[in-house]
Amino acid sequence: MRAPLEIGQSLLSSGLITEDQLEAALLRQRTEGGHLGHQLVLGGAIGRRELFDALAEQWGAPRVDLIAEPPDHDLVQAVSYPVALREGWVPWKREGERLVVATTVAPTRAVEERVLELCGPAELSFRVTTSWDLWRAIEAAHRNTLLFDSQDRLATERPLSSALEGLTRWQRWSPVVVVLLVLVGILLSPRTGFVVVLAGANIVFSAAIIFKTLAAVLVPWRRAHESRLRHAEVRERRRRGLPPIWRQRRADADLPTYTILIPVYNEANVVAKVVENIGSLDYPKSKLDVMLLLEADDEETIAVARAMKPPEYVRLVVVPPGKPQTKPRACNYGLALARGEFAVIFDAEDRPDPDQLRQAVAAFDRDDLERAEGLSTKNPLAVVQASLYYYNADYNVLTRMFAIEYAHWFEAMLPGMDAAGLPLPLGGTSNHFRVSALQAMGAWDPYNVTEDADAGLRASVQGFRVAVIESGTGEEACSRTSAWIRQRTRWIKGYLVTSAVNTRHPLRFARQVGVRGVVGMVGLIMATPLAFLAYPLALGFTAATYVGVQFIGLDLPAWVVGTSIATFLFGNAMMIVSAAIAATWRYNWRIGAFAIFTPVYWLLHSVAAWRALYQLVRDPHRWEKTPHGLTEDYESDAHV
Amino acid sequence: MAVDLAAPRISGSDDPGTARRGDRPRSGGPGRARRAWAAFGGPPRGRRVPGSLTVFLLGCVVGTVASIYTVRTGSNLDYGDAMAHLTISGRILDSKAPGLQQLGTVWLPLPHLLLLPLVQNLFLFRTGVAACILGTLCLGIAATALFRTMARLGFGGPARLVGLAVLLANPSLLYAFTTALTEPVLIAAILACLAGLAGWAFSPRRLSGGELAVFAGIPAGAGVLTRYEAWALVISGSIFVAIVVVRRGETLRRALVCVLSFAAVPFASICWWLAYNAAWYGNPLEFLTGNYSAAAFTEVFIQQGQLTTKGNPGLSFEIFGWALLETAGLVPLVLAGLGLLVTTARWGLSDRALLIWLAGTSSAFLLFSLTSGQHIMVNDVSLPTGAYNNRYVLSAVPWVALLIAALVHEARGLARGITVWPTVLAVAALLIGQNLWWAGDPGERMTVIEEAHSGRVAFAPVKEMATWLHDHYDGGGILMDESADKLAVAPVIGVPIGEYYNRATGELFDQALAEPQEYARWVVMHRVQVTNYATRSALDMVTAELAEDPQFATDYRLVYAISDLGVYRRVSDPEDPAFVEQPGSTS
Repeated sequence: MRAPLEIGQSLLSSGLITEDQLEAALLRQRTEGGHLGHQLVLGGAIGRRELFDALAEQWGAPRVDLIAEPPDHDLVQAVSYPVALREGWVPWKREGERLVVATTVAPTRAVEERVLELCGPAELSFRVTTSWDLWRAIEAAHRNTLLFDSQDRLATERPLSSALEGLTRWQRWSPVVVVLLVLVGILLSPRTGFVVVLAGANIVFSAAIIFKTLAAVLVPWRRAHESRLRHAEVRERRRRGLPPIWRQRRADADLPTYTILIPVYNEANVVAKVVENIGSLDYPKSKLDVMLLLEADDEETIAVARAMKPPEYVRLVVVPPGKPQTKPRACNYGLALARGEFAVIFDAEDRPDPDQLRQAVAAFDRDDLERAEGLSTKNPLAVVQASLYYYNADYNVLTRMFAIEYAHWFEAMLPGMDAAGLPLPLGGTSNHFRVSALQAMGAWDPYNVTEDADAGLRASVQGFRVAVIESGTGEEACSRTSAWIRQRTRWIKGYLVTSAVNTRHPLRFARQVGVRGVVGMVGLIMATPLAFLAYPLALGFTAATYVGVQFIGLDLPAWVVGTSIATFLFGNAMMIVSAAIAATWRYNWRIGAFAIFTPVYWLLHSVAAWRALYQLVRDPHRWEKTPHGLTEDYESDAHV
Repeated sequence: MAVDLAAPRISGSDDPGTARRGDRPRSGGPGRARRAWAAFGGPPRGRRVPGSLTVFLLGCVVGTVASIYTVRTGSNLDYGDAMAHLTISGRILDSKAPGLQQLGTVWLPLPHLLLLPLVQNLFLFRTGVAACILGTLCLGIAATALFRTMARLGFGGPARLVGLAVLLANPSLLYAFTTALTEPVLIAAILACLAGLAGWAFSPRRLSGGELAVFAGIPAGAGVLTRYEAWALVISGSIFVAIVVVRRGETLRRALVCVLSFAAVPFASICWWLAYNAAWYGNPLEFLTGNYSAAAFTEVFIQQGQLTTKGNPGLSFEIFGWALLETAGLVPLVLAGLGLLVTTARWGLSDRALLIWLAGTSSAFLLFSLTSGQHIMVNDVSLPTGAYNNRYVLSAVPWVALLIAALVHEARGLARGITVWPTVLAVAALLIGQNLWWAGDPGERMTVIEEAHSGRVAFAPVKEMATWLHDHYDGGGILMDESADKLAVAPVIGVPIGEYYNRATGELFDQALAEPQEYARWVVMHRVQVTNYATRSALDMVTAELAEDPQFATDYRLVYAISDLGVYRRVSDPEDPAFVEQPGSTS
């Protein structure tokens, strides 16, 4: 093989690139690493085909168009798709005794040996193909395998971890039994029955509030603890003669390839923003592997995506039809084709902080370092969650409430739970995975409509750790009540399903995750939907009790009346105060002040919760897609 | 329909982030003043109206100065109703029978609920400073809301300045805002509602029904729970919302959604009030038909032939007009009239004109109330003459302010040579002249102040008695009918309301009346039943029960007397040396 520079000189001498373009590409290569040809394509100096034509000439192997002349179907199966993607070549066809290999990498001796190892003895010849042709050919050839892996592998290999089967028999019948018992109790002794229901609703409501409040209260403690740790580390580093601050930023050349998965469906109106939003990331473009995951039946979005002519580092992946047609299925499909060491999900309209990928890499590096040095006994870090905020927070009242809720969740709840060592449910986007860990976990469950929360818990169950990073992603808050209810229905249903999946064998689950895992599961994943279900009951019963006792002469124990009123008032007050503080911290007081409407907002949650319960029984895998782009280009400065 | 020739000067973007703080050049002195003035008169940036905080602080400062004056002179407690409002607020928690039922049905509940946390402090309760704090905040809110409304209407800095001056330099209004009367909360709520409607109607972006519900509906709801004028504002506001939506070319369904969004909170407030009446009094319309209702109150005047406005729109208008003249002032009224002419001529019935008309809703309601006999107002042109209930016209001052501001805003276009700043100076001079004229004889030239003076005179002996009781009260409970004529002086007495046996304590009051010596060391009552205002609510029930009771005469002795009032002390209690020296006025 000739030196890499030669491809540059070759292209230069053939007049395909200029001196300046070559210099720029060489400069980027020196700082970011990677192939010069890739840098030239990324820099727009040359087209992909022109590059590979030049390489074909250089390597002495003619170029082949794998789309026009796809590989032999049986032959290509000899090499699994992950291997083929990793190696950069596929067996193309046999010509007598000769095996023709289509490659994107230089056909070195090592490559020849690898081909012979995987495909058996044969006389070899090579054709050059483009990287784009190669993955498209691999995807086409292995489509069935890819579909199985993205749809059914988890359910087949680990049925207990999949939501495919929905509720078990005891899970299905136990609520019915409880309701029947309550009804019987009310019939036998209405007063006692009423007291039991009222107390039950208040206990559930209180438990959820107390959990959320305690988690939020831990945040200042966590910050103080982290500050102490930082100071101690600085002192220790000074004592050892090291620079006081651990360098969290890798050099660009050392950064790993990062896969960004962007599932879109019926989002032709926002898909064009992807390039702009991802393009603003402070990460070498040569290390980015961005996949826009499009559904095959979404012709409009596909057309828009193709028309926008995305840059080299963005791949348009059309996910073949299949069931269930969900976001996690699309993400699994993309994950199967991923090249990165790390992977993250973003929505099309997401605006991640520019340094978010670097922060995530730093968090993983830090975990590796601490574990390697014996400084940490924690489970290996599998995923970090960035905080989410809304860039249209003050668009209307609903977006304000949504922003308040998110602020409470990402600025108070998750850091608090992280501080307490509880398993963290992930948010829908901006969760950064170590790809190997994600694959070991079985990736996302396509049958779970909150695959994010499920993945977080499954990570804990399987001995991994989830953490949060102090980086944010701007999202678009749903601004339409009907769409919000549909979205929230899916989320709450997902929590119910996740609870059900993880508690099919409660004792086994408890053994796997320990006390903290159980607390996290019960206090958040189970209590959240239950609290929303109980809220109108608690509200209605409390009001009915007050009116009944005060004006109608209803005879109830004073402690029941007092406790339920106090619980209700105190619970709502706690939610209002903690949410207001978090939202004011994240946005400003103009947003935070709207926390006063939390009790009304909870009623909307209750509507969604009861809808979710109905769907859980009738249609547990139904995915109600949240529309994006409702607020068009509106952007407030509340989050700045 | 007239075309809105002078469309509001609204920023082209709804993005408040387009102007960054960091963009401002740094310099001090005149440059800073110029920037401040530019911001004061600048267009709204999305939801933000530059200068709002400054105006709020200005309103609070003016309110504080006014409060200091009235508290020092004690005039903040001149109105009997002001003391009654403080008492109602206090007794919700501080009473022998605490609870929401203490709100009663005489007045709508919000002002009392807002005063509630403040009057828990005995000093704030006794001095009336609690009401000053609330009133000052209300003045800040009212000024800010007026300012924001003017900004949404597209008025420049000079017009906004004049509008604020009309509001903040009105002595009657300032006085009312230092008292516990309901005007401060009402006017703040009305103006906040108008600001919310203006923000919604004139936003470059079509705002949601939720925005309308929060920024206009909630203030309207607050108004609804403060005074019945706001109930009318809900109706006129709903019509305004519907017109704006339809004019935008949106569907009737959208118009309905917006109207419902605006009216939802006020409607819920009204429902709550009806439910409250039903729950505690068994009649959802108790406030309208009960013993303590306005109807019952005016019935006495009707029987005496003194409710001359009923069925007489001309006289109603005359009385209302006179009250407005003495409250808003002749000069402001003339300027407002000119403003009305100019805006009608130039704006027709555009959305901007309609918004200003909305500010007149309370005046229309008041005229209707006078004509229908639901309200009584007494002043120099009524029969009989006097000064009573004229403060209700204070809610017209914001309307006057908006009209004058509109006049200044439109002044430049009226005729060649007319420019804004000379107009401002001329208006300012006229307003100063008006205030100087008022200052010549405030007790005669301003009917609101005149009524306060009358109250001060009428309450003088009662307050003297109350002060004496405050100084000598040594515990043991007080039996007193605070609802009787001029006995709503609990703030002046200044002891915890939990010490009282009064009508608000329900059965305890009846028991104390039956056996006073078992319950109260002190009894305060009219020594002779008052019959001047022979309403059922003004009768002194303690007098009726005990004045002629020989057992009472045996068990209690008169320790203080002034005018027709007497303070009695139980004879079985240890003698207080202080009582040996009888005050000179005892007879």
